[in-house]
Amino acid sequence: MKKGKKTVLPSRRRRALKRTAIALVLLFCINYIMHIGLLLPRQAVHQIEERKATGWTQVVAREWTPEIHKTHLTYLSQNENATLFSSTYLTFYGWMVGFGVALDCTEDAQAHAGFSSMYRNDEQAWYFFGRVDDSAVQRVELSLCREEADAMSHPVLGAEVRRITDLELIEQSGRRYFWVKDGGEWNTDRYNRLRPILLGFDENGSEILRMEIKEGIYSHFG
Amino acid sequence: MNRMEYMEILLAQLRRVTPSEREAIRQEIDGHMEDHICSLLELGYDEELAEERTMARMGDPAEAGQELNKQYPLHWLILSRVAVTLTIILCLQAMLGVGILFHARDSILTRLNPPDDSALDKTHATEEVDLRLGVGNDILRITRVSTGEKNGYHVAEVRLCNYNRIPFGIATETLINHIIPENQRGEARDAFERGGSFGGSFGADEGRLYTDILPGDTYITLRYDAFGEQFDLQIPLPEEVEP
Repeated sequence: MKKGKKTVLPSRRRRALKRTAIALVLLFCINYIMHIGLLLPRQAVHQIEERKATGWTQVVAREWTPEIHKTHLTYLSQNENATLFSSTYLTFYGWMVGFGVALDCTEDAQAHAGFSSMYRNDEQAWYFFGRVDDSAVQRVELSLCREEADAMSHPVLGAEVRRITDLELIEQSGRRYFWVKDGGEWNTDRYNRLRPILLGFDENGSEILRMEIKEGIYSHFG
Repeated sequence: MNRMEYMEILLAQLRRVTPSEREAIRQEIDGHMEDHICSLLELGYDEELAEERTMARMGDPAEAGQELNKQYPLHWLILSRVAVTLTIILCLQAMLGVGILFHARDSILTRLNPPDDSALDKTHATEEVDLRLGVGNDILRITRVSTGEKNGYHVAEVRLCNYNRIPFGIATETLINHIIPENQRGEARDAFERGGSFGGSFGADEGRLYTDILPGDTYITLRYDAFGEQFDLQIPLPEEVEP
């Protein structure tokens, strides 16, 4: 009777750890060199932070935007110097960077505000966001106005098409932020530019802030 | 109970193992039993007794199988399969997304061979420079300063690029567009007329900036102030040769 050949029985733990190490090294290389394969949406937000040079930001609010992509996530994040709107969605390549709007909040102002509009096929989603630095402002509203042309074909502020009044001021790190999503049903002509106005009211209801929101982005997804 | 029956009872206790692990265990135990039986045969035992003594030495097959089963916890198997699945997906992503490597290419090429061409209509003076400045996570690099004419105006032109401090890192897309070039009198062109970024990739960005100058000007200043980072960089202009 011949002696059996001795085989080394590999430990399941050792095999699992080895495979995990290989996967993690590969993940790091693909994340770092190709900037894809992101497992978490927060990583995509970080890429937008790098692109916009805002530095690391802390998430204030997050919302799903299934009108654009079923996995589309939008974030409002902040640090002392910046307020950042960013969007990301899940694809075969992991979480992909969408578009971002960064507000430089280092300048003295009553408020800093921005907007983002997103279109995909017949669907649209609008976000209005910002930071309110004037402590006298207790309540904010948004007046969404059309852009119209005067007699000389110069763009001017047109009629209000929508007023958003139920805006919550979110406090974080001692600063106050607003962030609202709108379905854009009033926007019947997607090629017509919007002129959003931020209005701020004190505790007596008097208007003490009126500021046109100029920082913004119109993005179309295929 | 013979050797085959012993093995069947033992293997029946292994509920957490995969087919390949089961086969490996069977071969291992079979080999172990074979070795022991051979040793006993060399001592003069007959085959049946050697087999019986070997099985007695190995203990109750059900108990042995249960103890062996405990050596294969489920969570390591799950981790192993998740790791393999992730590896396969990552390999597919890398193969299908190979075109994305141009970001990495730009990051390296811009470091090693930064752009330094001029787009002036007529050049009066030009000088290659290599000024580097850290701005946030990026390196801003100025490679050429020129004076001459652009669209009928006497201008100074600065050729620059930026990339992340760390190779393959993500470059800022807004840095160059936030730089305001000013002449000696502190004047700057409107945003639409002072040039800017060409729109690079994640790996690097590049562009040209312009400001109006007068004959005899000796320097321009690049000003940047955004998101808490700021600099004022004075750049000497190359001496213009009298025509």
